[in-house]
Amino acid sequence: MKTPKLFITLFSFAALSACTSVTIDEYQNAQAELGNNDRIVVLGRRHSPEYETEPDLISCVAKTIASNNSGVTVIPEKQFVDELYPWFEPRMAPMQPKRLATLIKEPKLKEKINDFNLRYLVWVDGNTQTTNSSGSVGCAIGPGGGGCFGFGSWDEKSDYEASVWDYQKQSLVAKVSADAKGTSYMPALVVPIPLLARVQSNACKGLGSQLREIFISGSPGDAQE
Amino acid sequence: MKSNSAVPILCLLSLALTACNSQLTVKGQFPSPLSSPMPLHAAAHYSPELLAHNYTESSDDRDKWEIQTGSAQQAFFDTLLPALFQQWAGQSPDPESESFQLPGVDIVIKPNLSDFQYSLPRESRSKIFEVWMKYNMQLYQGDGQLLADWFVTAYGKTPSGFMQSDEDAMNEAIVVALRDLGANLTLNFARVPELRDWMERRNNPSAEFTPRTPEETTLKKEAAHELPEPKEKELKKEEAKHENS
Repeated sequence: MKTPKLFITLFSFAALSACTSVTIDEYQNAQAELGNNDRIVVLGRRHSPEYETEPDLISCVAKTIASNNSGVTVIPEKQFVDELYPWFEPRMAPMQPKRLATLIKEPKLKEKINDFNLRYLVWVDGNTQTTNSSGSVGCAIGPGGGGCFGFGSWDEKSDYEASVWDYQKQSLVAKVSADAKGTSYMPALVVPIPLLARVQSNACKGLGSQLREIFISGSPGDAQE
Repeated sequence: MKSNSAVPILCLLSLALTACNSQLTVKGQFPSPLSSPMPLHAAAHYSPELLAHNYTESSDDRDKWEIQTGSAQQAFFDTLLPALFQQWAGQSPDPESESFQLPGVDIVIKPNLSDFQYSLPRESRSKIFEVWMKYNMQLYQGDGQLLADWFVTAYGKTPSGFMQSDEDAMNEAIVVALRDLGANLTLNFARVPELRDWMERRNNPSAEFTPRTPEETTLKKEAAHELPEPKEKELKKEEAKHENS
């Protein structure tokens, strides 16, 4: 009887603790004006040698922006980057909105971007890292069976910043940042039970929801560049 | 009974022995570049070394990787190069061969992979696979005369994903490096000094041209394009420094 109680206590404790805190900051420079046929694209920054903005985070943000019948059409990142190859490869991707004007001097590129009905580009930069880990889980196997025993935990931190560029005006519309922190646990009594803090997923939802609001409401902020 | 229990043990042992051996034949799809083609009739020659390129890790300190890149490189160049020129003649014989002549063709491009390096997440202490490639690009005229000879480097990285094998991540990093090479060539091919001079001379035969100094040419200019040392080596150097101090 003691073992199930221990299990339940441990599970409840870990389930309560395996949560994530998310902080969202927004700076809006101008009103977003999406026409009926206008589309946006969400792109990951991949120029840093130290980290890589995860492709699954980018597709998650894109899905979140397009969700809840927002009416915002998002071009898939891979399709956009492949069809405009090589102009949005890490080596050549514009780092400032004004640089778009130089890029579209290439007539084929301009034509293709116009075919996409592109109005806004959302650049997402950042990553999720494991910042600390402790404990250990050991597993053994023998003729009579196998099992694991131990307890491990690790902290994760997400740090993302999204910049919204107006393709037509070649200017910055808004910046949204999302910081998320959380601790995951792995208790193991015969079977390991991962209790994961969905740090990246929650950062994505926070970032995506805030960006969706920018495109839906189109309300200008107070701050000026 | 003895033989029955030996089977799983042998399986486990063989698994343990092969766990750090990775074999990879790189596969990928490459997009065609979106750029204005150069007014040239071009062809390419792929050397047998390029087509059969096979990297085998020789260091005892590293995991045993065997990486075949030949078919991926061919697929990449077959997609990239025809889009850079107004006319494409396909594959050419080796321009260095005796009595080489390709009438009607302006230039023949011969890419050679001269260096290949990689770094694994456990070596760089990051969550990314990294690949560096260095190419020696040679450009010949249709009569076999060497026109330009320069080096181009490419870099690719990919995060190690949950539920993604090391082989898939390495494959992706190599594909990203080849795409980076494509970006470099699309942007810089028309800027190769000898090619630019040659095209100007061809378009304006009566004009006088000052020959370029050795510093201005690409021929045999290798030092400027050395690949960076892999992070693993950098880290070992740093550790050694700390130990000494």
